[in-house]
Amino acid sequence: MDLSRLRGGSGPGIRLKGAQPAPVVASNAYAYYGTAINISGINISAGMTQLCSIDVPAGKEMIVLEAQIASGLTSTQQAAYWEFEKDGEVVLSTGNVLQSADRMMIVGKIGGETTDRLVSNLVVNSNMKIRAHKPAGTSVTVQVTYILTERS
Amino acid sequence: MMQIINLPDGVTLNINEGATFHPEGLPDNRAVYTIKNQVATSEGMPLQLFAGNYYCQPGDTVQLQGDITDSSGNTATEINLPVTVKMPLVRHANGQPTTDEIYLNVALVNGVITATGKIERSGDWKILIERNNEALQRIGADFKLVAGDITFLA
Repeated sequence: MDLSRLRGGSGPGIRLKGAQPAPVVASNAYAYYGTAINISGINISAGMTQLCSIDVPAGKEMIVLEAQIASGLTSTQQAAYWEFEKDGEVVLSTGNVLQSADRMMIVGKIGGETTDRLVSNLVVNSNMKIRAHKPAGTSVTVQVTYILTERS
Repeated sequence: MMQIINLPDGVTLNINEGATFHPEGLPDNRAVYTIKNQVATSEGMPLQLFAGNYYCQPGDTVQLQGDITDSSGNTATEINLPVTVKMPLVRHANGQPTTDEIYLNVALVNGVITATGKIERSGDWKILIERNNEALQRIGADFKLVAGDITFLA
C-alpha cells in the first residue's frame, strides 16, 4: 500500500466517508473492513465485455482492496482474457484459464486462490472498469471491495 | 442498456442489463453438510472430548476424522477433493482469536474428511468452521459445513 495516499483524519491517516464500513470477511480472526460490491448474472458475449464500471465521487479516492471474477463455467470452457482499467488506462490484464472452480483475483491480498493476484490496494481517482472475454452465453460474478478516502 | 446504481457513499455503479447488484452480499447457495462420527487422535491414540476440548501435548501430531453428511444423515460420498488441501487452525488467547494460524493437511475422499498436522506450540487452537467455510469458498467448493468449532488445547 502506498501510505502517502492515505491522508486526513486521525490515526494512520485514513478518513473514511460516512459510517464505519462493515466487515467483509465473516470470521473475526481475519475481519477486514470495507464496502463490498457484489454483482451476479453478468452475461458475457463472445467479445470483450464490460463487467462493471465504478465512478468515484468527486473529492474522494477509492482504494480497491479486492476485485475478483468468479465463473459458472464447466471445466471444458475457458476464459481467454480479462482487463482492469483505472482512470481511463488499462493497468492490469492477462490471458488465463477460468474454470468452474476458479476465482480470478484481479486485486487482492487474501490467499487461497491459485490464479491471478497481481497487486494490492490499488488507488482509483475517478473511474474503474473490469472487462472480460469468455465463451458466449456464460455468466460471471464480480466482487469488488474498497474504502473511500478524502482527496486533498 | 446499462443499469446505473447510486450507492450510499456516493459511488456510482454501472452494470449491464440483466445483471443483479446485491447490496447485502451474494446469496449463499452452497449445499450444507454436517460432520458426524468425529474422531480425534494424538500420536495415534484416541483423544477424549472433555469440557468441549481435545487435550494434547505440544509437538503431537493430531488427526481429526469424520463423515461429511447430508441433511438425511447419509455420508456424502460424492464429495471429493482431488488434492490435499489445508485446514486452518487458529490460536486463541483469552478466548479471542489471534492471527496466528497453523494448517492441517486435509484429505476429503468419498465424503470422509481426514485432517492431520502437528501442533508445535502450546495454546488454545481452534478449527473455526466459519473460517474454514471461507477457505472452501475461496477454492470454489459448492458446499459448506455447519458444525461447532473444534478445540485442541496443547
